[in-house]
Amino acid sequence: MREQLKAYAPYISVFGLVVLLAGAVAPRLAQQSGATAPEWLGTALLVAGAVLALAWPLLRPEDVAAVFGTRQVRYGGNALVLVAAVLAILVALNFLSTRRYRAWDLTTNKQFTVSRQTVQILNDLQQPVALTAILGAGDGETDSLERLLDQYKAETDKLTYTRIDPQLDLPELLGLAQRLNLGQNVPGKALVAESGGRHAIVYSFDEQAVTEVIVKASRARDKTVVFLTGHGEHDIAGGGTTGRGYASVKQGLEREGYTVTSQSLSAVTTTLTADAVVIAGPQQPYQPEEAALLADYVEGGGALLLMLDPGGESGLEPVLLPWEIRPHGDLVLQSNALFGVTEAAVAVVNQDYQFHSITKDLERFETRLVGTQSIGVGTPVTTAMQVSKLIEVGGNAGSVVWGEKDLAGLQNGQAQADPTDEQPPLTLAVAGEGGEGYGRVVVFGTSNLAADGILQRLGQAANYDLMLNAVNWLTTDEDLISIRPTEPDSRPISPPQSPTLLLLVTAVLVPLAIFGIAAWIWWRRR
Amino acid sequence: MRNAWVIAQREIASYFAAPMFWILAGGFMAFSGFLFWLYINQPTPPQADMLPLLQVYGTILLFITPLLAMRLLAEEQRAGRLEVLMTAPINDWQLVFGKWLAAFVMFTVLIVLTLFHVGIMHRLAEKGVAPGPTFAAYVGLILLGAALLAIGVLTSSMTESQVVAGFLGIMVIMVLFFLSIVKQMPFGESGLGAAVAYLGLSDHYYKFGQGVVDTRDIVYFLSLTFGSLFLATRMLETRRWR
Repeated sequence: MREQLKAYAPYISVFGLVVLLAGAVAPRLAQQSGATAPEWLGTALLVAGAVLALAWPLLRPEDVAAVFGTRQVRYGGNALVLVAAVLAILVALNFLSTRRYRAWDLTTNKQFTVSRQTVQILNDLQQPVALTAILGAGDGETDSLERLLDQYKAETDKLTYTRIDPQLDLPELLGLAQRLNLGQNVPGKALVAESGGRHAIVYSFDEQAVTEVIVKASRARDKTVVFLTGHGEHDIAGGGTTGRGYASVKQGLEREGYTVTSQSLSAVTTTLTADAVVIAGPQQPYQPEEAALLADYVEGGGALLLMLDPGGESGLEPVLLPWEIRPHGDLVLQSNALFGVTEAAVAVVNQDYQFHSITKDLERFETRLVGTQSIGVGTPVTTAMQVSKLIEVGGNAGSVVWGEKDLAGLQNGQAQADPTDEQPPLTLAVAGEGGEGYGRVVVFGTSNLAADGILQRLGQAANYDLMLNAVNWLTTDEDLISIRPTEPDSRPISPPQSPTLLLLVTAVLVPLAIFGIAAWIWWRRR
Repeated sequence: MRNAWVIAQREIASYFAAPMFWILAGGFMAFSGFLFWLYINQPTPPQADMLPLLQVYGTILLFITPLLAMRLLAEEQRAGRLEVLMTAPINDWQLVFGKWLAAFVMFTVLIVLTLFHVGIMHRLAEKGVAPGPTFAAYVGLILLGAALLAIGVLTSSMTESQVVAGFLGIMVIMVLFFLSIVKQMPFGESGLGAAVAYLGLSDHYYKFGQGVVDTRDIVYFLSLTFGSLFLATRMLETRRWR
C-alpha cells in the first residue's frame, strides 16, 4: 500500500494544490454569485488540500533532497529570499513614509500651505464632517484637492473624504443627489460637506472653498439672505413675462443651504438682522431714513449687495459714501468696429476680471452685463476699509467701450463716444470690506446681472455664477474671508532685445561648443 | 566605498574621453536650448519660471539616462572584463554602485549645464527667478535621474548587448513613468490600483515641479534607486553560480 502511494505521490500532491486553490477561491466565488455554501467548506478544502499537497515531500523525501541539494537551487533560493526581504523592507519604508511625512512648500507665496485660519477651524470642529467630491479621476482639480485634503486630515481626525466619479459612480451620485434633495440639478463638479444632518456645496476646490464648505456644513444654522422690496426691485418670486425676477437665483441659493426671503424696509423697526441684504434694481429712490438704516447695518458688520441700474438717483448714495463708491449714472456701450454694431451689453472676459475671491474662478468664462453703468472708486474714509475692483473693461482689438452720459440723446439714436462721456477703463463692479464692524458691500452697475429673463437669454454665460459667488463672499464668516486665495507669484519676463541672438547662443553656439569637444576627442583618438 | 569611488573615477574618465557623452550633452543642450528659446519668445510674456521647462527636460532625460547607463555593465560582460573585475578585491555591490555613481556624476554635469538657461531667465526677469521652486524642481530632477540611472544599470546587468540594455531600460522607465494613469482607470480606486499608481514615477516627479519637497517622494526615489542597484548586484552575483 505504502509503495503504491509512493508511486502516485506526485499526482496526489498536484491534486492537493488544486484542492488548495479551490479552497481559497470557492467561498469568494460563491459569495459573488449569490450561491449559498456552508461556511466550513472553504476551510475544509484548504486543510484537505494542504494534507494532500504534503504527500510528495513526505512519501518521497529523496526527491526533495535531490532538487534542493543542487548548487543553483541553493544559491538561487538564498538570492530569492534576500531579494524578497529587501523588497519587503522598501515597501514597508514607503508605506511608513505615507503615514508620517513632512513637506516643504518652497513656493514664494506658500501656495501649498494651509493658512492659520484653516488650521484653527479644523482644530475647533466639534463633530465629524464628511466631504464628498464630485470629480472624475482625470479632472485637473482632483490631484490638487486631494493633496490639499492631505494637509487638512493632518490637522483633524474629524474629516472623512470620498470621491464620486460622475461617469463611473452613477448609483453613488444619484444617492447623494437624493440625500441632498438636489432633484435634477446634480452638478458635474462640486464639493459637498455633510455634518450632523446639514450639508453645504461649493463649486471650487481651493483652500478657501474647502474650508468654507466645512464651516457651512458644521455651523448651527442656515444663513439668511433678504431681498429688499418696496421700491420696484426685482421679485424673488419671478417677474412673469417681464423677466424682471430673481427666482432662479433664489432657487440656487436655497440649494446651497441659504434661507432666502423678501422683506420691505418699512417692516424693519430697529435693525436689519439678515446675513446678507440684496437690493436688485430699485426703480424708486430710497428715503434718507431707509438709507441711514442700511448704512448702520453695513457699519455694524452687515453685508449688502447693490445692483443699481443706469440713470436716476437710487437714494443709496449715503450708504456708499464712506466707501467712496460712486455709480456714474451713465450707460456703458460697446461698439464693434468690424460689424458696425453698438450695443448696451458688455462682454466681460479674461483680463477684465480683477483678482478677487468673487471672480477668481471665472477667468475662462464670459459674463455679459446688459444695460450697465460704470462705477467710480476713490479712497475710502478710513484705511480700515478696502475697496477692490471686480470687473474693469477697456475694450479690446476691434471694439470700443465708453460710458454714455447723454441718455436723452441716446433715446434719439445718437450713440457716439465723446470727451464728456466716461472713458475706459470702466469699472463695472466693486467689492468693499472692512470698517469698524467689518461690513461688506458689493456693487454692480446693473440689476440685469442674473435676472430670470437675462439668464434664459444668455444660456451659458457666467452671470449666475458671478451672482452666487458675490452672495457667498458676502455671507462668508470673517475668519474665512481672511483665507485669501493665494495669488500666483508673478515674475514676467521682458522679451529679449535680440531673439535671434538668444536662439543662436542657446540652441546653436553652446551645443556646437560641446559637439566641438566630441570632434576633438574623436580626432585625437583617430 | 573607497573601491566604489575608484571604479567611479575610472568610469568618469572613460565617459569624458569618449565622444558619446559629448554628443549626448550637445544634443540635449541643442534641444533644451531651442525649447528654452520658444518658451522665452511666447506672444504673451511668460513667467520667469523654470518649472515647465524642467518638466520637459525631465521627459527628455527619460530617454537619455538609459543611453548613459546601457554600456556600464553590458559592455564589461561583452568584452569579458567582468570576470577579471570579479577576481579583483571588490565585491559586486561596490562594482555596481561605482558604475552607477559615475553615470550619476555625468548626469549631474548635464543638469548643471541647464543652469545656463536659469541664468539667462534670471537676467531677463525684473524680479529674477524664484529660488525656492527652482531649487525644488532641480532636487526632483536629480532624484529622478538617480532612479532612472539605477534602472539603466539594472537592465545593463541583464544582458551583454548595449542596445538591448538601452531598449529594455527605456521600456521599463516608460512603464514606470506612466503607471500613475492606473488611478484614472475603473479599478484605480481599489487598494491594489492605488498601490500600483503609487509606483508611477510621474506623480512623484511633478510634485517637485510645483515647488514642494515631500519626504514621501524622496523616500520613493531613494527606494527605487537602491532597489534597482540591489537587484543589479544580485544579477551580477548569479554569474558566480549559474
